[in-house]
Amino acid sequence: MERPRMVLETRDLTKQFGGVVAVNELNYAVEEGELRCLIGTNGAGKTTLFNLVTGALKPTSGEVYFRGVNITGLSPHQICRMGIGRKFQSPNIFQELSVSDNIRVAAQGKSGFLGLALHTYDETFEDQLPPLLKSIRLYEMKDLRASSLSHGQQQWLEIGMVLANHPSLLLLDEPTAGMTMAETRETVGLIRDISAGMTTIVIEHDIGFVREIAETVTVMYRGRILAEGRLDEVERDEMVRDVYLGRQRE
Amino acid sequence: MNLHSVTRSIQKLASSVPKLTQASVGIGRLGRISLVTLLVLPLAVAFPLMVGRFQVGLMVKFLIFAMFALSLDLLWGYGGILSLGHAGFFGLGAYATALVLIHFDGPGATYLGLLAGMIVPALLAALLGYFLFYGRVGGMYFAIITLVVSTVLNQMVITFIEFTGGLNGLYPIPPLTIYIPGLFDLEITGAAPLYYSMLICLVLFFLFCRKTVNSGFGRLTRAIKDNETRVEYFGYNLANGKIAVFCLSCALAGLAGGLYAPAIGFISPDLLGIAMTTEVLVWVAVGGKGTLTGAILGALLVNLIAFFLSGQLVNLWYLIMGMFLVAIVIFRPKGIMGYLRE
Repeated sequence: MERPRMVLETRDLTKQFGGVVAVNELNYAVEEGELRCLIGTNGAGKTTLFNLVTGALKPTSGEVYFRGVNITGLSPHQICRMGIGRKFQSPNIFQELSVSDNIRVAAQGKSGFLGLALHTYDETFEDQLPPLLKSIRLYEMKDLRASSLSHGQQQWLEIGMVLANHPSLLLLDEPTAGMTMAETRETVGLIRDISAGMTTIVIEHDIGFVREIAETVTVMYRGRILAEGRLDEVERDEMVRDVYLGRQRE
Repeated sequence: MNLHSVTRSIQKLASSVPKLTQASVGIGRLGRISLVTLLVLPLAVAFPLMVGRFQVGLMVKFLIFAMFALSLDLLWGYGGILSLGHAGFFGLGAYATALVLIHFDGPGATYLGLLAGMIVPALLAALLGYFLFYGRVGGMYFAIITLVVSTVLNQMVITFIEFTGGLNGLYPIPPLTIYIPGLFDLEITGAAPLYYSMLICLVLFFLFCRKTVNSGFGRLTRAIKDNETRVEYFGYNLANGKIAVFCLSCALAGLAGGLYAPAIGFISPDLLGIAMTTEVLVWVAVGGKGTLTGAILGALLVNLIAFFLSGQLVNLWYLIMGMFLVAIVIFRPKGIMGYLRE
């Protein structure tokens, strides 16, 4: 049987902060088209893994491969240009810019500074702007300053910005953090729509949310993979119950 | 008549109402802008007819200062990069242009001089920016290094007397000439011609800056000021972007300096000094950083007030000026234009 093509793969990836090993000889792989959830307790190394993949941190040892290319040690903008898009944990947007301008800045990302300085803004993108704004439920707010949006709307805006940047692998770090119940429900639909066309990895704490969206779940614990598989399988795992989900009384 | 079609046309009419209001709002905004232009422009054009030669000569200087303020606003107000050595680049441009004009006396010397006045500061900015921005030096550390660089430039100008005239400065500097091959070679001398040519230069400066800040490049500049990290994770090379903004701003500062040298006819090391840097920061802060009209307004207003006060209250004016500036920073931190916009 032919091995399916891996979009992302880490080989013995390790990151040490002083005496703390945040990610410990991690071998993690995600296939093309997957929607993968990454769960685990605080300090399990989930966000550190994202930081290592996107170039925010340099690993102590080990390698990261993106579509077979070794991207270890590249800078964030180089990694982004190869097609990895990232949404940060708390909304990381341009507060002073309008909602539309936030998306525009993101969309132009790969044209580079010189391209921007020499050419005027590519008007063809303006046609793509309204449908994108509608898909993230922010069309009516397109001219508002981003800082005037609610927390949940800011989260959506950042997701929209990352999409406008056209990645082929999407990393979402707690996309529903701080959202109301209604917003979370809408986000489930949004992420389902997005992941239909794109390999997506989602870090999430909310097990209800994970149950809604995920096919495969990876549980991290102390920088390693504790369990991996379908959510119902993972939930039955004794170790996972012990460290993460909590034991149910018989 | 078909009732259905009537309803439809009514619906059409109703849906076009918001569009109509939008259109009138658009005209309203345009009207406000042209109203300001209508008031200010005739005043600016008639200015030399209303006052004496001395005042016109002073205004020439202030118009050039307004261009200098625009260049700083681009870097500080839009890019969020504070430079404490911007006068160094202004003065460098002035000296580069002056030296070309003094040593090269051929047709088109003005063009060559102004080009040198832009390129020399831009190259220095590129070199500095390369090491500082790739080395991730930002904020106050960057500001302090620019301060040191301008101090070094100031000392160099004082030291290399054969070239720069040292503390005595350079004088006389040949005038600006507009040269068109085969047509004319026109020297711009006298207060009024200089005034009008600098007014035109300021308008061009303003239009160029406005086009820049409204372009994709300008939008990105504001994005960098807002959130550097996020910019990087969209595939932008952050260091290159900052170098580009810094170079552009320093080239414009140098061009303003390059116009200053032949227009005023005399330059000295003071132009690169800390006092000059402080002044341009004050003009932009008072006018409102991040607004182009604010930079111009601040430069003109502060200089005019300082001029009148120094004439009326020989001893007290520095004190009054200082208190005025402190009051602006405390009560109107966004400057005059920032306040008017709100």
